[in-house]
Amino acid sequence: MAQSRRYLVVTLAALILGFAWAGAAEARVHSATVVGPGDSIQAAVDGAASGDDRRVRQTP
Amino acid sequence: MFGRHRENVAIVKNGLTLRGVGAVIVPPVTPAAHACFDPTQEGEAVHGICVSGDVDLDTGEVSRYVEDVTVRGFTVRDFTGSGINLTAARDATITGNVAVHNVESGMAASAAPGTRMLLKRASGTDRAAFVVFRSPAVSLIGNVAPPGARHVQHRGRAHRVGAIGGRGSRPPGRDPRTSRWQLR
Repeated sequence: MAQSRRYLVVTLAALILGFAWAGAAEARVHSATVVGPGDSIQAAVDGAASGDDRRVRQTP
Repeated sequence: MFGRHRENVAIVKNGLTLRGVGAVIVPPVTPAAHACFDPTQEGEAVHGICVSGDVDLDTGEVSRYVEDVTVRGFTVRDFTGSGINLTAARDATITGNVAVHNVESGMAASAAPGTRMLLKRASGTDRAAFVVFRSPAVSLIGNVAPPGARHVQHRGRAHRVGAIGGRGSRPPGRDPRTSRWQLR
């Protein structure tokens, strides 16, 4: 019985860690920003945090 | 003008990725003052995209490297300096960019260990298409430079494609995707 509980706790802990990892990955995706026509690339770079992704599209 | 951003850009933060999706960068009328350009220095060259840590320009001593920056997919042209310049940068990846008619070089890496330059084209420079200085463990893979020109300047010497490393190097005209220069 005690062993089953231990398995349950370990499984729950693994699930929680998995969700936390997925959330962090989601947040990482959201850090991407598009620099559109007429926007300043430097301003986007200055406003970025370490690890962010800045995309610069062609000015029409 | 159609399809152009008029900026000189400096990246000083770790881990940043800058992707150009069909973006062309050309010199602004008045270059921005930042870590890579000091307007008080007369005649200072202007780079298109610059990745820079902190370095004493007199002694060459690096006090901080900017790390793990990626610059991808830009066309950078007509700057008085380098199209893409790395100084005091570590493990930067410069990939899929095109540098055209930049005076100093297409791409320059100084005090930039671990730089990876992949599938890039540089042409129309007055000096070398690619310049590598004080930058150990640099990889140049699949890059294209105009034939007959000085292609890579490394440790103060100019090299033609195929003259460096001997590890899969290819002269111009061969498949650039198999061209590989390993500089130590």
